Amino acid sequence: MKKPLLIPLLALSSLCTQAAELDLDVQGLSAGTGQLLVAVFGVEGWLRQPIAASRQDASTQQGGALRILLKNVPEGTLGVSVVHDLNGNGRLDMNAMGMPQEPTAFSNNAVGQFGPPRFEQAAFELKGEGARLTIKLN
Amino acid sequence: MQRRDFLGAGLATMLGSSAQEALALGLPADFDANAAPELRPFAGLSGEVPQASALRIEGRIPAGLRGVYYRNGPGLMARGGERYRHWFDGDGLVQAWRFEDGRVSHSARFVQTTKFKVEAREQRFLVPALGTAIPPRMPIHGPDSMNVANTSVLRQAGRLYALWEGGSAYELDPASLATQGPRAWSPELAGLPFSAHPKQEVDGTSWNFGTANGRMVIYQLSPVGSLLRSAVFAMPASAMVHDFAVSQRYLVFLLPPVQLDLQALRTGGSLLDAMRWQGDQPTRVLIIDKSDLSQRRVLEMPAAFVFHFGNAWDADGEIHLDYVQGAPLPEINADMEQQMRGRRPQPRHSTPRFMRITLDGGGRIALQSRDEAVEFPVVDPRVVAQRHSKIWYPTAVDLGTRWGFNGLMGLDLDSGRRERFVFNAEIVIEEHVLVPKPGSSKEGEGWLLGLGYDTRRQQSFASIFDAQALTAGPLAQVWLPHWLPYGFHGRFYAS
Repeated sequence: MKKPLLIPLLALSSLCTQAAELDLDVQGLSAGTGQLLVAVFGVEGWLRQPIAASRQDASTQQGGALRILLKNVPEGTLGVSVVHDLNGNGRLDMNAMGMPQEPTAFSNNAVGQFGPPRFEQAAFELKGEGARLTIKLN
Repeated sequence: MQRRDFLGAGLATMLGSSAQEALALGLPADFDANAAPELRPFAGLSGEVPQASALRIEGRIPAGLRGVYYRNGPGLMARGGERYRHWFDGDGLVQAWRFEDGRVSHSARFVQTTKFKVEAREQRFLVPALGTAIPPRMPIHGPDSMNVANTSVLRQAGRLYALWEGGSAYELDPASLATQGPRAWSPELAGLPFSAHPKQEVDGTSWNFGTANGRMVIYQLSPVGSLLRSAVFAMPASAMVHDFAVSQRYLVFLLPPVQLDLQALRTGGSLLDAMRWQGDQPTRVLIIDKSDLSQRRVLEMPAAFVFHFGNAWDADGEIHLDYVQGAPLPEINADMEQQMRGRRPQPRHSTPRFMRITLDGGGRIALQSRDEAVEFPVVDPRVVAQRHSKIWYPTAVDLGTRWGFNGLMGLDLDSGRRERFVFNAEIVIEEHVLVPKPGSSKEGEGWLLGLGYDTRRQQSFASIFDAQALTAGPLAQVWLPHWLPYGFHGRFYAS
């Protein structure tokens, strides 16, 4: 059921700009079911159009934590979203009024006010030497 | 404790007893009700709820009054030196007044919402409140992260719920009031708002709604509390829908022209601060067919803001309903901010309205009004969604600038005749519900039961009136030895 939707985007972006490694330490997994969906955004496409993405089987978690390494992520000012897709259907489940029903988290552990955080709250710099972030699911 | 006592004694010597009370309650200095003693209960409680072992009864409690009067309201207004600016923000405090054979007992507990538990542990507010822009200090998943469960109660098939407008119903143990957690009516409806004004029909069927993100959800629950039907649909824009009316065949909503300013929200304003009153826009009247929830029509009327409805009924192609029209939202919010600081707001009266909707053709609306200062309308629970002819309200009579209500008014819709009982200006009267007398069948054969506060004694009480002899005054008043914060709504369930 995995969709290779984002791979062309990834390939494309790595051609255009300098790329670096992004090492995510995701914590707070409530279960080992489903998968983690990671998406990396620039300011322009925040939460709409990822410039890099990754999935990882949640069964590899240990003690509620899981490492995800993204290679060839375009350098720059970025924001990351993590979704624990508990039922493995490939998306963040919403209820009938558009409220998330699965755990989510953002870089800087940013918290939104009446919705997801703004890009500036989640923004960090990715440079040549790479970056390591700790993100806690809620 | 010793250091706190010492500080309290020292400051009290310097500043008088109000500072001592402020310290005891953990109040910041911006609450002082000395100039407006009726506002004292807005101080709220700290996490501790005073418990009363013996209640003083004045008069005689009717022997036939058997059951529990559950009531809910905002009870905690400050933590860690931070104080809510709006009455609607406080954490839900549920009271149970138990009546049996002329005796009465009282208990009260805070609803242990997710928010309440974490904030109690960390001793500070952590999530935005409806009217106070607390910056989010913990992750928010949706409305239930901010649910204060502070507005009303519902008991259904032996299960008790504390209700809030914007989130899930919180289930409580009906005996101990211990919190069991949010109730999902179905997996698909988990986390959706379940408003604080469900309507229970005589056969036990309940109707309710919720609104969020420009959408509305309708619930129909069976007498045993299971979901019969639901519908979610896009609704005409309105950021605050508090109550609705149910007739035999229709659900009726008045959707006031309140827009949400998303920019104001994102830049850190509170939800209420971000609500924009658009008085040049109509209030939309949404009418939904109970037998087919997809059959919906919208009529328009001049801009009006309403919190509460009495009841509705329909016959011969017309829907009749009554409600109380309030001031537009910005004024209400400004008033709340004043009273939460212990200052009297501008006297402003909400008044009764009676609407007749003719459904034929394009639909027509006719409105009548009265000018008594009222709120919190109630009808006999035996006439919900049926033809009714009686309404009761707390009312304000000759109060000048004093806040709140000091009397009760009964209105006969057929004759237009009113009856009322007015206490002196030291008494604050809150919502009173109609409790049918056992064995009676006629509308209005019952007692009015509700709460109040004596500003001189600084004690809260329950009062019981014969609804058919309102002018004779209370049959009984039951006094707590202390005061409790003002509440919003309650319901009585006979045992």
